[in-house]
Amino acid sequence: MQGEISILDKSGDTKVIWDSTKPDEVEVAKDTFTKLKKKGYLAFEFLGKDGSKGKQVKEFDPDAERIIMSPAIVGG
Amino acid sequence: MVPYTSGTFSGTTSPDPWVPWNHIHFDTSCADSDTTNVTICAATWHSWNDSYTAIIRTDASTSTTLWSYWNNRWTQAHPYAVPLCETQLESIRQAVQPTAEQQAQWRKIEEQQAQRREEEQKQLAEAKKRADVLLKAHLTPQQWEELEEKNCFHLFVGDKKYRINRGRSQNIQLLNSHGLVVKTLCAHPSEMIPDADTMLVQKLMLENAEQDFLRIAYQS
Repeated sequence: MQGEISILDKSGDTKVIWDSTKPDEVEVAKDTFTKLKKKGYLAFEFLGKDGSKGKQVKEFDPDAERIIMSPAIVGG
Repeated sequence: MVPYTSGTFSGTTSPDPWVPWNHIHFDTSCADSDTTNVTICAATWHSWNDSYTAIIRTDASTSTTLWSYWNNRWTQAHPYAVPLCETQLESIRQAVQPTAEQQAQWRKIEEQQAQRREEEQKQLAEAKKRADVLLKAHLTPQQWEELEEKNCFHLFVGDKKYRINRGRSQNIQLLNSHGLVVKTLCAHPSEMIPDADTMLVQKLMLENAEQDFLRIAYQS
């Protein structure tokens, strides 16, 4: 099964895609996730589409369909 | 700035520089209050001459010497700040006249800058498009329709109703049961990302970590 991380940035988003059956791809995705979390990024995992609320996650899930990662939020 | 010296300045005894200078620095101690006649007012000239020579040049006792000294000194010390006579300006123009090679180089730099700006505009448009696609994928069809029509969408978190307007900051409103604004909230990703991405994060935070969001957000 294919998973996808969308990392929000000034280009819109940068995607990291992995196949959960391929350990090396999973490793790259997990490594990306972990590094961004250390930088304070927020992560939300989704299963469905069209208004899915998703859930906030702290650990990488290799079976996730879609993860959105955003820079930490700050008060305006 | 009004020039002290006019284009017809021809020497240290020229009255031309003295006329505008006198108009500008009219000494109130001068008995003649008509500034059109102040060019012949001895009081102004003497007042200026006395104080200036006392400070700068004790040996500049005559108006001609002083004028020459003043003009030279100030145009050298402030070639750009102090208005100059036309001949002095012309010599500066000649000194700073760019060569053909320099002009070509500047044109090249300008072209590169224009190209870079155009490229940035393209990237921004592309980023906005990508962010809109991502946001659309995480809104209900009704929310997306609302956003397209009204530049905002609404969401319920428990029994609270929020409105997220298009934008980055000060764009979230908590509404009461009558749809009136109770509070305006401001929190957004720390990095600059397209507005649609920002709105998506705001929505996800409100839906998944409302208390964290409210703790961080500036509220007014």
